[in-house]
Amino acid sequence: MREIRAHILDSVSSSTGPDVALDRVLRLLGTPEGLADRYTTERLLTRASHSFSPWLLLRTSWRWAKLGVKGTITFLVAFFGYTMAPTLTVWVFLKPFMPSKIGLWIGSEGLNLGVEHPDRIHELLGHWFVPVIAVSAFAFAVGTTQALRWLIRRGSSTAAYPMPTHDSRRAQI
Amino acid sequence: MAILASLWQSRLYGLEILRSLAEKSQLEVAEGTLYPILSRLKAEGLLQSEWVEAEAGHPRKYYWLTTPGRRPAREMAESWHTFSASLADLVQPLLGGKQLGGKQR
Repeated sequence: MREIRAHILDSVSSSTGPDVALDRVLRLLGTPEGLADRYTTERLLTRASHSFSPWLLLRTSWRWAKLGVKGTITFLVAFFGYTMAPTLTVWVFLKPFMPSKIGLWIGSEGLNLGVEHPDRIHELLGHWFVPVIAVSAFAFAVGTTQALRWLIRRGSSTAAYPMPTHDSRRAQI
Repeated sequence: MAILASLWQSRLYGLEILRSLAEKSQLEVAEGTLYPILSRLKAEGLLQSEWVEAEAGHPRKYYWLTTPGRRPAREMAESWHTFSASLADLVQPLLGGKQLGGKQR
């Protein structure tokens, strides 16, 4: 707050038209809600780049996705990885209850993970299904977390925000 | 990277950083963007700051690069330089023999 106030005072005091300069600087700062949102996003990016919390990483990548391509790609990585991990975990827990019906199948559709189907001819893993899929779920969870931390650390150093107004010309202060 | 570069040689406050970027690079950084980024760079240890009582009558927050902050700033600059050089090679045929900066071959 103190810094924003100092910025406004500097901008106005260095201009020949204080009223015009005040309007301009307030417009370029954006709304208070928008400014607070940007501070919050930056704080989340800092926390997330050092965090192992999937919820924080997912939440941060969602906020970042609203700002541009890098954030969108990061969110897609998060969404895919954090969807695969619990999905695979569900299959691991279901396998003991339906051992002949759940597996990694190969058939006319190619490779498929899930429930038995007429097009799925041969189950590949057998008794190895639970350990292989459990390790895969763990790998997805850990790999996604590490990838997100790397993407946020690397990408957020050049994060940019949309201008709060359409005025991209240098001001005539 | 642009903000870190503007602080490479001197301590500046927010408005000075914006003016430096505009004058030296024609880069217009949104004022509402600058301060959240400065806050994050400081939280990550790349920058340090202090409030200084100014002649203007109100205190100003000056920023400068920390020693640990210089290495990533240099790395970003080197990456950018490599990227822009390769892009310059790519667009050279479109310029019809004119080098970037307006000089004719």
